[in-house]
Amino acid sequence: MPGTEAPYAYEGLDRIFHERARLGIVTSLAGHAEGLGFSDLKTLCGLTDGNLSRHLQVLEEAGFVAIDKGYEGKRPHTRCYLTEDGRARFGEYLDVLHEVLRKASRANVSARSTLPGLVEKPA
Amino acid sequence: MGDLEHALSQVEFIRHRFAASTRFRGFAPQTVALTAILAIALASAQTVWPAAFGAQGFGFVEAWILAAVVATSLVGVEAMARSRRLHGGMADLMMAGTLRLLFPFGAVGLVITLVIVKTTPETIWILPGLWQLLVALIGFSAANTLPRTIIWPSAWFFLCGTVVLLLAGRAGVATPWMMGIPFGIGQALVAVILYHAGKSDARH
Repeated sequence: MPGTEAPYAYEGLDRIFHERARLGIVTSLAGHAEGLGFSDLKTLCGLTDGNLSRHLQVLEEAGFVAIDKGYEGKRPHTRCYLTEDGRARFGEYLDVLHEVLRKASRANVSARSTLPGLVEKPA
Repeated sequence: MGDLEHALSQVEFIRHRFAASTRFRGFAPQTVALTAILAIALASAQTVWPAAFGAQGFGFVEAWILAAVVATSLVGVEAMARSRRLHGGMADLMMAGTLRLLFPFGAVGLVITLVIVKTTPETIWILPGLWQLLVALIGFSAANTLPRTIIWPSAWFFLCGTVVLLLAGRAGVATPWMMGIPFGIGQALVAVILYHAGKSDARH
């Protein structure tokens, strides 16, 4: 339909965030403005060192996450945090995701009311 | 609760946490600077034309409450527009969080002012210092949702509040510059901090 908006395009659902492990990482960081240590992030997201590093690298290359490598006392300490751009883009992502789920939920309610037998039956 | 509703409530939860830890960017430095000018202009007017602009007593309280209403309206209207522009779909959550932070202090300030004006008008001198201490508390409480350096103007308001309480207590009267200097300089400092934070955001 040329000239009309595509209501189901959902361009805000950025593929970089739209991956389970990365969504977990970004969600954890989103609640901590001052960032999180690598080991805290690993525990929160239930990821291995290698997996977390790989996903952090993807997010860092996209400019959504910044990684500071330093020391806490004499021990090396890596702190990860969302960049301003990452915060803005994740905010947009959440808006779109919220909208998708709201529409799906409404459609589900309306389907239940018109076709109760079809929707309520377990698969 | 179905899977969709569960997912929706999880996204709501993440949005609330995200909004709570995101810096509020609704306050415009230019508008805040305007409130600094307003404070200095009112203090000057009260000094030059004390009778017309209420340099003492009830008139003093009325004039500064009116200035506070004008300043809050200017900053508030601008904040709503900027918040929509800069925070997008999160704007309502961000505004609600900011109002939740400001409302208790505003309510306390209003109650203290009304009680003093109604019951002990001879102690009106205490109000400027108390107002400044309340503004300092707002600033300290907002350190997580505004640029961290907001603690410097907050410290300024705290210092001014203490000094003004001491000076006004000794004299038994509040003077226009006990409001003009603290709010003129304090609001200008806030404006400078917001301006630099905005420039830093633009670089990222």
